[in-house]
Amino acid sequence: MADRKRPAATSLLEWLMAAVGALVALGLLGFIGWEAATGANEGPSVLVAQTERLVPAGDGFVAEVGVRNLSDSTAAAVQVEGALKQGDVAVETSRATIDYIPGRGDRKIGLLFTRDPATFPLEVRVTGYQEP
Amino acid sequence: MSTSTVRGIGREDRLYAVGLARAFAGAVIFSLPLLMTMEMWWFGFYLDRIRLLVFALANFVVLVGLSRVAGFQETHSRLEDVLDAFAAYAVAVVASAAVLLLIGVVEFGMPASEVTGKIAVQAVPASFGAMIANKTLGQAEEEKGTERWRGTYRGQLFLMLAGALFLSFNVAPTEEMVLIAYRMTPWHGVAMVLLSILLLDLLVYAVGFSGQKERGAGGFVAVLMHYTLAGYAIVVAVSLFVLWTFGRTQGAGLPQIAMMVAVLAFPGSIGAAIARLVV
Repeated sequence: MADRKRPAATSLLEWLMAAVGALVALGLLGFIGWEAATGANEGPSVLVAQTERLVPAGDGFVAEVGVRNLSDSTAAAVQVEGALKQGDVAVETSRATIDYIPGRGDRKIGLLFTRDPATFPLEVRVTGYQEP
Repeated sequence: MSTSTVRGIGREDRLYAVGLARAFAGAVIFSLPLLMTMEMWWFGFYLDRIRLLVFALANFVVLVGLSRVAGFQETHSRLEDVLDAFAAYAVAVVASAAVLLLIGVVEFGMPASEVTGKIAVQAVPASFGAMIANKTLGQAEEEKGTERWRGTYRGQLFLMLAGALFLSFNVAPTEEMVLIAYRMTPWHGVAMVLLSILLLDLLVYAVGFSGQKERGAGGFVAVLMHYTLAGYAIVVAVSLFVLWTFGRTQGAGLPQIAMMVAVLAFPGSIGAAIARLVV
């Protein structure tokens, strides 16, 4: 410091950016800290599957299914099964796996059937998942 | 340096703005490979929040240190280093959010937890890139104070830590890290550790990282102990910390953890050895 010609001024812009940064850091880390404190990411995942649309596709039909995670915990390798029912008997089943569904998030999948889901009632459900 | 104090503020502002623009470029350049790595997106929502918080705070400490050895603009006091760490963080968050939005990884309507998590994870390498941008992109005009601290033993050790973090963070998030550790036999592990130490030593010597022209002064054993082995210890600690943060140590046995550390310490060692070139 002694060998400098003048004490360097801290520029106004520098203070401004630092203030923005402090605000962003506090906001972001505050939110994550709050999540950590409330244990948001713990506990089992609550997953609900619901048929959203039935579309004829190629030789068969696609049932578009939305899967929602109602909990704060992320679920991995979520397995979804859809069955076309005739009474109590499943005449056709299809499965799909979803890589990840974040807490409070949702993902869409397609289940393919050869029979028309309009004539057989379609039942979709989540059969299992993995903790990430 | 010799402009009058009256115009001083304006000049400082302009210089700072240039540094800031470089910081943005550095943030994107350094973090782009990680912004386009899907494991990094997944960490955003499934990473344990306490670990994420610890990681972000540790990152901040490293940022302050980086500002001291290679900030995106000249700093003259500890306060300015802290200010610049915040600024680099702001740049990193904005740059990460913009790119994540651009590539559709962050979308409107996503849960807040997912969005903040994804940005917070990416902000770590991005802020690192922002902070060292001037060194890697700018015409580096070394400051005396910086040089002095870089030259001290503590400064050297910090540089090695930063370098290890720099390179190991680039490979640590991928699942290949775990896969490689699974595939390796203990003999592979032993070879990897020995090679890492050897490379660290050779590069320290060849690149002159230790700041000495030749091994001379302290002799072979002294350099080995003071720089190579001390450096490798830092690299191992950094590797373990990164693995812990990413949840790789969870549910893994001690042999498995040791193997993963050996694997991650390989790029870490090279990063530590060449730290002076990149940071």
